Amino acid sequence: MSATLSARASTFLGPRLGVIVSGGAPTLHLAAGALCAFQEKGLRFEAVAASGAGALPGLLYLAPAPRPGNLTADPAVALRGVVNMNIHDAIYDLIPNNFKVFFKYGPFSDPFYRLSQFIKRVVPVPDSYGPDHQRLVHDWIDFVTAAIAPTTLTYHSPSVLTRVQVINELVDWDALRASPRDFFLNTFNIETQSLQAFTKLTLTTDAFYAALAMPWLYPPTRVSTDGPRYTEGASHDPSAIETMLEDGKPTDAFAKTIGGLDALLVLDTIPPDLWTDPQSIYEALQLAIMDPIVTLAENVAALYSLQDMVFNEPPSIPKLYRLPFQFPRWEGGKLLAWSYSTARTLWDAGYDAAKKFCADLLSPSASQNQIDAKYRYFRTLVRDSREGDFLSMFGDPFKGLANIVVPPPGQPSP
Amino acid sequence: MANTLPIGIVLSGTAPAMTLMSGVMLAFAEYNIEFEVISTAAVGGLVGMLYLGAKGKTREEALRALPNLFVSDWLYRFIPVNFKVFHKYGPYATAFYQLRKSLPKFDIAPDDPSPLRRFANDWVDLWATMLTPPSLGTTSNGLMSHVPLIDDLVDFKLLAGHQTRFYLNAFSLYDRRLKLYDNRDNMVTADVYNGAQAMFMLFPPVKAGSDQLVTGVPPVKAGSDLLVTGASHDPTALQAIWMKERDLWGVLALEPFGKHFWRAPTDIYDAFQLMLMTPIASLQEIMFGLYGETEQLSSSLGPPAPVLPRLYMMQVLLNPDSTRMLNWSYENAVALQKIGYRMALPIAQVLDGRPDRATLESALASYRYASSLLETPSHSRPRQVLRGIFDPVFSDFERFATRINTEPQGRRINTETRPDRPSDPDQGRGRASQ
Repeated sequence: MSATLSARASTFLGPRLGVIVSGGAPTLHLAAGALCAFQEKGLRFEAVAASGAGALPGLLYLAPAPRPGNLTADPAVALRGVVNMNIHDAIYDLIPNNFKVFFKYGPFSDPFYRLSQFIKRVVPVPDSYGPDHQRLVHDWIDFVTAAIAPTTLTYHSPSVLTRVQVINELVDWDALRASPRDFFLNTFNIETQSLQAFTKLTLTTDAFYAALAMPWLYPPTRVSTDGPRYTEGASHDPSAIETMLEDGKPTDAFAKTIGGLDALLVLDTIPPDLWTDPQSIYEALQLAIMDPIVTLAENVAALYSLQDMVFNEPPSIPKLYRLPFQFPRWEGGKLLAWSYSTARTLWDAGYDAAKKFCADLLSPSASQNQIDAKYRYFRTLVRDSREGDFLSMFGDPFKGLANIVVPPPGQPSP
Repeated sequence: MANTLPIGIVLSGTAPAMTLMSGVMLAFAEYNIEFEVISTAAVGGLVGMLYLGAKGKTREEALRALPNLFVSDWLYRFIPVNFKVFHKYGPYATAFYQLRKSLPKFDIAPDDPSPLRRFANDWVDLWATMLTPPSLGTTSNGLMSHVPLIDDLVDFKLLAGHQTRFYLNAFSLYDRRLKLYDNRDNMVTADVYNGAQAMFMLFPPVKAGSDQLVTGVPPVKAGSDLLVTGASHDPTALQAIWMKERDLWGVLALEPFGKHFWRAPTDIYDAFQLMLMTPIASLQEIMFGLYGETEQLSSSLGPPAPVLPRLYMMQVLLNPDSTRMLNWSYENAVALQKIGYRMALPIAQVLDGRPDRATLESALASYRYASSLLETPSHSRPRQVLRGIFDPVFSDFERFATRINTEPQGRRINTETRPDRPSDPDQGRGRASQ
């Protein structure tokens, strides 16, 4: 961490920081942009907790694999390359589907994916920000190979998509296990009906895919032959805050995992920009998936923030901070599109938000109260909002909110 | 018959549970139980409205008839879609719905299986569906269209005049908040109901109300709204209870269905339904858990802990093959209705005696959610949340409740809305809302 930023972060937030990367498709690019900015600015997180689509940027932040164009496995370069997962706009406008991420059900998708990779070696494209015409050619090759790949989908299939082992090309699992920092990814065990976490020591390719096995898209997945089946954790705790607790005894868990951290920074969900009248049936499908997930994430984070407010005088659990994202108004209805332009919009919003966060920490006039007023989660809650309505279940928490002077870590409240 | 203590019921919104809920309400109807409040989400709204304002029928007749909305078992084996409830997207849906009603059909009592006659009736409906011109395209904002089915089933004037307060939640795409529509002042309309059913992708958002000035001092602009289902935000329908009905003594609910949705799919259609229902069931389980634990702890503490009506839960005991719960077949609908009836009957009998407070507390003690069902293996997930991430809150609830409900001196209450919140979801998109 850069010395100055490190010192400021330690002063205002605490010495040991964790970052929470929640689930939901748009999170992929928002988080990639934000984590890239943190990496470049030198703000270090000791632990990453992820859910659903947040898993990939979290892993690229900690353990990217060396690739052409990124031989040194620089996390910032890998995170910049995430936008390449989306589709060139000229193609996406005609075929609004991400055939580079979602592969047809059946055994043929993998060989056809390999075929497209082989063809593309003839027309190399850098991992990030390549020329537009090359991107178009590459995406067209991907489209054609995906279109001609046969599918074995029937009414009796367990899902509509198939896994293609792309993740092994992106993540260095050995580096992850050797990392001094922690990683948590949540998943839902349908045998025990409970949420679990894979850690850097237990995460494998199969575990990664099990943790992203959203019903309909993918079938419940086993990590070992006789082990339990898992589905996506983001449908149960998309906030990923709970993920750091694993499934141990709460008191032990607080002490053992997040209890070792001073603060958690939650990369925000994206309402209210998300909730719009869909422009297409594909967008409507994504909204159907995202609608309850965003609500769940917000509810968990909002209640945790009240818990933070009440039980952190003196500090006993990690404080919760929130990194809000700002989008241009005219982009409001496009956030669920898998087009390249949307990826850039989201990525830039994430990058700018994180850059601003670092700048605020470094500002000579910054004070504890200013930082908390802007980023401490419970200080950002408002009464007349969806979150406010939910929190009113517990009475009138807004009596105790706002303009609260929070002491520096380790000191008693005034 | 009104109860001696004010009691409400929440009818939560999962469509496959429609007849389960109608069975529950049939048991209460049999004993002529009048609730103080009926709060609903999504299809729970239909069941609640039939209880309070059935059109041209008694409440028992209307509720008992709901299985007729389901598909003949013979036909469902080959076409596992409810084409009697879900209508093709486009402008022709309503016209063909009216056409269907005018076609000759057998008159079949709801409890009469008559497989052959049901097959014949539904065969006619199926052809009408197939002949409805499709207009679904990639730019459509839903797979299906609403038809005036609700207008045929519910008398909204009767509903508005009923002494029971009725709530139906729907999510406003204008305000980006859950709205609680109640039957006073004619707030619950067919459009609001259709909006409350409008799950993204299945149905387009529904515009309800119109921009007009309402007289008053000062004049108020009653604006239109664009609604989608509230079940994705509060599938418990409890928000109306904690925001508007804290004076109730208790509230009844059906056991949430998480365990029936968190499983491996049987086929691709089942998987699709599980995909839609999994996070909603998760939200439902967690919100019931949070509410149940909060009300129990609060009731033993007193002020400043929040005052919340007690939560009593009716256990849903399905047969071992609970995957059938998502079937839209007639046989399944009748089976669920019977299960619902059996679930509610003991409570209906208790309420029928108009017991005093002590008797009622004693009789319902085993139904108190936080101390009964919540502790069973079926609800390990909400328990995991309560004892895990929120362990500090519920281990020292007195501290939590006191702290958040006490206004510290010199602290300003934040009542602003978020500055980045646009007021119009279509702003900048150049598209008129449907």
